[in-house]
Amino acid sequence: MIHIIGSPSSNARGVYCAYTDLGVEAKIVTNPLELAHAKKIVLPGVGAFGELSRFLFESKLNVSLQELVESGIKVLGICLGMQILGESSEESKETAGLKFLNLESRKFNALESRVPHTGWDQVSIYKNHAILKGLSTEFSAYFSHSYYMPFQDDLSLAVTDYGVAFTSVVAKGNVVGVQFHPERSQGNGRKILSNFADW
Amino acid sequence: MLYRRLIPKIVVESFASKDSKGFRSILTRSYSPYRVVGDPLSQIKIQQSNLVDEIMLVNRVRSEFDLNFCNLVLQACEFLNSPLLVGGAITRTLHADMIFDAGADKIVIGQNRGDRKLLENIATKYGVQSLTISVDYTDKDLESGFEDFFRRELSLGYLNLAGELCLNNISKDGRGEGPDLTLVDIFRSETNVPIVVGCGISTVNQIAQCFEIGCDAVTLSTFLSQTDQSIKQLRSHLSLLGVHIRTKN
Repeated sequence: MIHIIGSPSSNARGVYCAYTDLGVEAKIVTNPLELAHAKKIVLPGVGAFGELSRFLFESKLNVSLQELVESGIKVLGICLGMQILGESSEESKETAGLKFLNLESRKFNALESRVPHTGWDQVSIYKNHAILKGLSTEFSAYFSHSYYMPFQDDLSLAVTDYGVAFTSVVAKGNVVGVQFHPERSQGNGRKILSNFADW
Repeated sequence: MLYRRLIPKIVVESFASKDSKGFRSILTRSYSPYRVVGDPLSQIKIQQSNLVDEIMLVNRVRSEFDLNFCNLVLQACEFLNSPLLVGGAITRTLHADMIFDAGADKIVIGQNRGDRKLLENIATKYGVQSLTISVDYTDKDLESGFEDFFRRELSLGYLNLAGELCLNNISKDGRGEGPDLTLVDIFRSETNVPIVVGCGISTVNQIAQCFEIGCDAVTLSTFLSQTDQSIKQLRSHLSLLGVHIRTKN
């Protein structure tokens, strides 16, 4: 069973449908009590950093996630859901991330690249990981974001080059994140969601 | 480097007969209904089987938001594994909430692009990357010059709230005479968001030309319904023409 955090602005339904399509049982949850028996948790994307942070802190889901991660429960963050795993974001300096990853999300430089980074782009695998099992070392995925996590040697599993080489897949212990949308990235995306379910 | 995108645009309208009711997919000319082409969900499935880059689903009714349209989005999202962009009379943040809740990844605002409060509310909640502004205009709008038209558009104040701009000359819609590319440069000079062009595309060379002048994506509607070209075939042709386009997943 995959528990999907359904923040008010997320596309939790897209992730839910993808898992259902894969034959994996999934449930959208909005409060800490529903996470009591969670083994795998997905933090989906779409939204703004400040709004998601406020939702997680006001609902106390941040506390539950902290405890669950410490107890070994696996978490997958998607797009904004990956950025919220970090310390903070330039998108909303007054709100905090979940601080599982020592990274700050930065805004793309609109003078160098078109912003947002929207569409299909290459993902280059830098380090192998269970979440990337069965994927080519270079694969395409669908992105839609204005902020990115910089490359960090000890955390980045895959990178994408968009004027700057940014982290497109990240992992630390039982926490992983993908900057792209696996639920909308066709076969490659389905593999990642399936890998997370099997991890 | 981002791949250029081909986006099938599926326009729908509601219908009701004594036997059934629902939505049907239509072709338009100058945004008016021209021909019924079938069932929107079947069309989305066909496009998905071609590993389409993205799908745009638009309810043609521009006067009033249709709650039943959310059900269509909901049904599409049950099997969709490609990005979905949805539009159709979104005049309130609540409408956007319902469309996103049904599973859309991005929404399109056209007629109400001058409603800055609406755009701000959506951008604050969902991020600007989730908001595509459709700049719908006619030849008549350009009679006083495209610079004058651009100044009027600029005064609406949506540019810094757009995650993507979709330039559509309604006068070209469904006519296959080629898209209007006159506004691409002038919009590009003021903003660095991705630019999509639609309306009037009927040949592979026209698509290649859109990409050559710097468009990031094109929307295709009549072209895909009225020719024997599929997205897969188009990709191969465009790739041979040197366009940076996705040819496999």
